[in-house]
Amino acid sequence: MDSIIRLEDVSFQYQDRQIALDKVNLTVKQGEFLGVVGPNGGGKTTLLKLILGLLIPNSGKLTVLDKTPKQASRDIGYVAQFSTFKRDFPIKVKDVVLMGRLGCSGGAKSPLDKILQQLAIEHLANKTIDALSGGELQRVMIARALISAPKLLLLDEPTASIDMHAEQNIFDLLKEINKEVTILLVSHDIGFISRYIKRVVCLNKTLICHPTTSLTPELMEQLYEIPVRMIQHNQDRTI
Amino acid sequence: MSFLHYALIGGILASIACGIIGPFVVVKKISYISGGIAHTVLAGLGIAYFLGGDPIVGALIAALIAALIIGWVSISAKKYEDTIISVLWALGMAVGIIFITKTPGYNVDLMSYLFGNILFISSTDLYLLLALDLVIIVTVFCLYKQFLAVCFDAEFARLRGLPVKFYYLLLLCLMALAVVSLIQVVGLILVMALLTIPAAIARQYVSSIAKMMLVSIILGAVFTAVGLSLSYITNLPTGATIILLAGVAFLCSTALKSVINEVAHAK
Repeated sequence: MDSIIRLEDVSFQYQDRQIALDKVNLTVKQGEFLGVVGPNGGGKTTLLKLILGLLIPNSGKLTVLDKTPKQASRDIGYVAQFSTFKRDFPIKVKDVVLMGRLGCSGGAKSPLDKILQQLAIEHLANKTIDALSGGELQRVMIARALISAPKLLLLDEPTASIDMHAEQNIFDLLKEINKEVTILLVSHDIGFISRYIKRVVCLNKTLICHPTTSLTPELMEQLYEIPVRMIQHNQDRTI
Repeated sequence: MSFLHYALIGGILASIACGIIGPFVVVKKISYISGGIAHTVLAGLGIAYFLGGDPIVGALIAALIAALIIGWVSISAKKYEDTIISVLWALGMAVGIIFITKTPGYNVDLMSYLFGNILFISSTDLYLLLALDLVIIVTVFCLYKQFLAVCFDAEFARLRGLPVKFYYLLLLCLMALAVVSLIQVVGLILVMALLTIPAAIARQYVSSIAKMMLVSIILGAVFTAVGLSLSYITNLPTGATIILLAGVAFLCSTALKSVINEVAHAK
């Protein structure tokens, strides 16, 4: 099994609305760090929900770890875009992280200490979540997703609510995690992620694949359907 | 044993039920659901009275049905949740009053259902309260993690393969049991106060649901015990005295907490 995710001509449409994904073909291989970028409403979150089994494709074939998404869901770690919980909930960091073990069969899980250490949040273990900064909370969410020892990690805009410095740290961290776990990351911030990610696909109802280096202004305009201002981040690579 | 002993034991048993369920109600912000369940209970009481059955059985059935209806609407059509609670709330009261006034012969004291009748609590009532407590304690003890996950982050719990709807409905059913146990003590109008106030005070000082439960149980027991003695001395209605005490304690605690926060900020 070297393909972790495989989509063949997958289409999806929300009830009474425009088509969200149109015949998407995508294969994510073991060990990959794939970025998915595209405009708002381009279907990025829809794609994640299909992979998670929260939505069912209208047509096409979708397998995750050679299983249906529902069967594979316990092997997927998921970090949602907006925290789906209330920040004022009285709960400690370590209890949030341990929640990731729910539904785990006995063997497949990582020790709590190891995960907290890996994400550099040991010192926060006994704090309540309302005392955390955005970057710290994001690490807690990643820890919760990793403690079930998933084979695939999905992240939806992991850097949306944190500052630049914390963002850089998160990407360094994800690079480390990627040594063991396949990662699929959704982001609007293409300039930033292209410095870290091996392959980027662009999603705006349909899919365009290419390595990060070949992303041209023409392609960007085609995707976002408006002129896009390009900023050169460093000398050796133009996006 | 005197009626005061019975009342005291009844109050403490009810405090256990509301102390365990209250924290979930407060953190999940579903006290309006508990109000809906409590008022629907009058329909069950009235119908049971009319048919010559045990009112408390009627109350239990009505509370569980109300919990399941509200829970089901809350899951499947969230935008109608508020409406359905209001409808059940009023409908329950109306049905209850119609059946109670149509009951032939001796007319029940409606006030005791609305505002509690802890002084008339019988040994049978105490056994029932004990049974309700046991169901709540055992269920929450066994499923604490699951309830916590469903209340904290239902979407994540669902992704981990947890039957989220089932646990949510089960939690609302336990809430229905706690409501019925409290109706004996403070009556259905004041139930919401005793379900939320101890937990709300606890939340100001402790930082986990489990600790909130412990503190809520103690506070609930103190409020009912002290309220009972105060009402005995001053000859005031017991249920109302208990709630008044709890309400004043909540206001004092909130004031105290804001002073503590001010001091902590100033440092």
